[in-house]
Amino acid sequence: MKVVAGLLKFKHMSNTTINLALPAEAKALKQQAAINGAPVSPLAPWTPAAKLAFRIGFLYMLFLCIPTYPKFYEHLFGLQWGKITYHDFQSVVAFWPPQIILIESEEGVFGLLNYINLILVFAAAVVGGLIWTLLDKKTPRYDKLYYWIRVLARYRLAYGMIGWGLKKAFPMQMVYPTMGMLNTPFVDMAEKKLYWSHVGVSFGYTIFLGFAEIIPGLLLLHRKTAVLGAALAAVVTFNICIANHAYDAGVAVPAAYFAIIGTYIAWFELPKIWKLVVQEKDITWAKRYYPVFPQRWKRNLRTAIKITFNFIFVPLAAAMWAYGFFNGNNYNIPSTPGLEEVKGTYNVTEFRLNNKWVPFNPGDSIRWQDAIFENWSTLSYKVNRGAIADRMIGYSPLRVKDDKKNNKLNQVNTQDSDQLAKQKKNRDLGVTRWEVGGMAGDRRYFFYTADTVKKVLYLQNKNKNHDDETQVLHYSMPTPNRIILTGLNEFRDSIYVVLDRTDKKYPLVEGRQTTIKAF
Amino acid sequence: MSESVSFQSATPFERWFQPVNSRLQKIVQPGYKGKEWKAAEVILFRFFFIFFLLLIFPVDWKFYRELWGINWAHLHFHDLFRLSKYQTQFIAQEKLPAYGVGVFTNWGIAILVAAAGTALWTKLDKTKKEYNVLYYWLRVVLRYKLAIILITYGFIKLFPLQMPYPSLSNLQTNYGDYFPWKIYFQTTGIAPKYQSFLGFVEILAAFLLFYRKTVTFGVGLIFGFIGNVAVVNAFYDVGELITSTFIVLVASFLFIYDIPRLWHFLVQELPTKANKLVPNFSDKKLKTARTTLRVAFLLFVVLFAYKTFDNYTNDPYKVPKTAGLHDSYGLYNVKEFILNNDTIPYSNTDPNRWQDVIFEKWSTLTIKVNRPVKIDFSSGEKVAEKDIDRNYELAGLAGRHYFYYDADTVNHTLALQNKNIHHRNEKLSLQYTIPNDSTIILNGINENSDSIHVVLNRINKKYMMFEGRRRPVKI
Repeated sequence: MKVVAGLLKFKHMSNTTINLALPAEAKALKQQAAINGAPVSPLAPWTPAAKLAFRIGFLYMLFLCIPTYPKFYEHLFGLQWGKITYHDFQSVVAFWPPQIILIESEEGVFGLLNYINLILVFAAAVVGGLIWTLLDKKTPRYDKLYYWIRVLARYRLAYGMIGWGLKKAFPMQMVYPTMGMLNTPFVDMAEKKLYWSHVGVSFGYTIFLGFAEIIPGLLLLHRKTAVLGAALAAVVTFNICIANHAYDAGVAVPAAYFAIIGTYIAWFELPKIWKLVVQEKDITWAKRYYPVFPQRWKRNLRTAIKITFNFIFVPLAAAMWAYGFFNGNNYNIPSTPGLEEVKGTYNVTEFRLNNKWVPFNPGDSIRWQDAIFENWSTLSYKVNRGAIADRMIGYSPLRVKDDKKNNKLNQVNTQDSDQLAKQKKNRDLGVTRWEVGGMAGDRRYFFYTADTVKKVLYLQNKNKNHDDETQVLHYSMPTPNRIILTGLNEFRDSIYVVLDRTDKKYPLVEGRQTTIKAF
Repeated sequence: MSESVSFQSATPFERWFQPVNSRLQKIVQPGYKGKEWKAAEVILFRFFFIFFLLLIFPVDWKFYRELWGINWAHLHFHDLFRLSKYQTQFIAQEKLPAYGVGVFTNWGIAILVAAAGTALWTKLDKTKKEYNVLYYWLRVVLRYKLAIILITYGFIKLFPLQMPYPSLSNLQTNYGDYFPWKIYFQTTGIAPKYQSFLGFVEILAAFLLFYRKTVTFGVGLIFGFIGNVAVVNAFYDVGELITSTFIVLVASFLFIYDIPRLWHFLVQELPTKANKLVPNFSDKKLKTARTTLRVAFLLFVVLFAYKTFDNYTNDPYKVPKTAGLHDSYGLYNVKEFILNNDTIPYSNTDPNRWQDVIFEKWSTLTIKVNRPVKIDFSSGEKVAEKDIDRNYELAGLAGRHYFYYDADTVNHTLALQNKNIHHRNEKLSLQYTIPNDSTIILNGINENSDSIHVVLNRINKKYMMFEGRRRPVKI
């Protein structure tokens, strides 16, 4: 990590030069000032309060911006270079602030208690800042430390914003509703599912939201535009944080965490912006402190580090997301193609259970009411029977620290599609369960593998809580719009099902500018 | 226009404009020296000056028709809402396309007029080198116009009127049966507190624009939050593309003032001059005008806040007001359905057989039946006195048929009429009996004058949206 390297360097330097009133830099500043005809910046000592505030802020940012849990490093050093996907990039940039305690209650996952770690870390920074104040009574100003902590915060925030933006710029986080979803009542979905889907409905809007995160990220990479980028990032992530609370979407804390970092970076120039814009007073001194690298090798090293990390986390990461998106590794969408020519919504014209004809009845717990073949290998149908809801509503960043207990509340700690794919197993029973996640159980979603020679479908329930349900159904298509399924259902009863395709049109798909009048 | 144009050759317009202009110039403090502009800046300013004033000050009669049409004794917030966002319509907006580039036709005309005006102005006045003072006044006009629009949109969100909570029938409608714009509204509608928060941000932005010194921050908020709304309008066909784009356009124009100084200071790290045109309101008439404007704005805020709060608490305009049949609210399974003495079994394909029925809290009854719905393409935005005309609940979605009913609780009859503008001819006349808490029996004549007998059984179900929010749940 560039930031870590930079930090090590500045630590080294700080030991040697921190109390020497920055002679080299002061001289450089004077020279620059002479060129620009501006008065020399008053390098006056900071007030004790300013120094204390700086020390606390410095430690807080330091704790927040360095990954502090072993899993991060296990993952980083366990990367298999031949099998890297966009998920590996995302795990690096989407790490959480230190997880001192993990509260497993509802409130701890979705509510205010989820902020406990941000507060505890701040308390630690206050304690650290006070101790520092006791130990260091000489330093008049902290320009150099302030500079480097902003470097750390800037890059941490920039790569994070860009990573989050990329999963929308290549729409994967929010995807277009599946056919099953189009045929599910609004109220049968969890709020997070509704929130994510209402974005996914518009491909263009999803990409726009991606760039609303990427652009602040890019601005943060350049130190002259960083304040603008940080302010934008703070506004955007603050809104994300509030929306996450409104819809229990689970990533309120990472969003707030980003907003805190953005605010910290923008804060640096806020007093002067206030003076210029609100108080309408001229800014006579706008130069900032920059470190000077007299040695050529140091300058080269700095450039090399910068280019390497920017290359990895911007164009390379974007290329990986693009590759995944265009090559069947959209983490919310299954990639196994469905049976040919069957995509569509079907009425269940006839249903026999153990050779007994069962009439259509919305109250029946076994008799299918409709059936849907997706474009990929999923068959879903509606029955009047509940299920334990699968909470895989999209992949969100980790709540680390062995969050196994957390599974029932918020199954987010999953990159299993990737893991399954790496093991050359079918990925579609992994995280791509998005289509069943956060939905009421009366629409059953089955993954299937098709034997097109023997005309047999081997079905498995996609809901993680019911993954023991399997069916083996023979299929035939007497006419192009009719499918007949026969075989054993998940209760090992024999069924005979006649499906007839409907030509249903969806207002959501046709849109308001459609010429179709009746639906 | 400028001092160089002699009075002999002055047009009536100039003779009128001259004194106004010299009055406006009086805000200049002694010692202020405005810097000269580039020639292109002068021309661009003339263009935008005409363009914005043309759109903001309504020169078409339709505005005044609306204005005179207002019943001030029974003022509705929606009257103020429509007036505050009014832009000059050279061609009536309803005659233009509702979506896409065509909605901007009036802007196109304004651009042509402004271009011609700029050419004329430039020809008449060849000496003027800067418009610092007029620029200040243009910004004043734009700030107030934008602030007023944001106040109105802010309060209808702060009190969640714009996107009301979805009705029970809406909740029971399949996701695919909605137009995208309605999905957007419903998704915001299920989080009223979030909607209030968004409204609060808009009101905050309005007040930041109200104070000259905080305009920059107001513009920042607009870019961060309300810019989003403009993009949503474009992608979801919400139908407010002009207003939302106008907000972003004006905000961008206001931000142009800040770009050079922020660039100087933040990016180039150069000494930067603050705004030097600090207006001086010692001129009596100007001072009176300013005080009047300020008070008017604040009164508008108070009045609008009161009116929207009143509407929200007493009679939210997008929701029907007549209470529904007592204790009938709920979703019902159609257990039995007899049409002209023939019992029709459960079916989701039969065009006559009802599948389920919903009684809303208000006097709306909705039926799910396999018969196409001609969608109401409007936004359900109009204010209607009568409940049958309050169409927000059925605007932009299919899936169910929406009936308004008059209940006669003495004779136990319901007179139903389809609320949908395309199906208004459908009328049903039904007798109801309520043998127990969970059963309603309907007898009577349907829209085709066939006799029907319907037995409804209340469905008590738990829903993912409420139960599955946070807890593990079997549903």
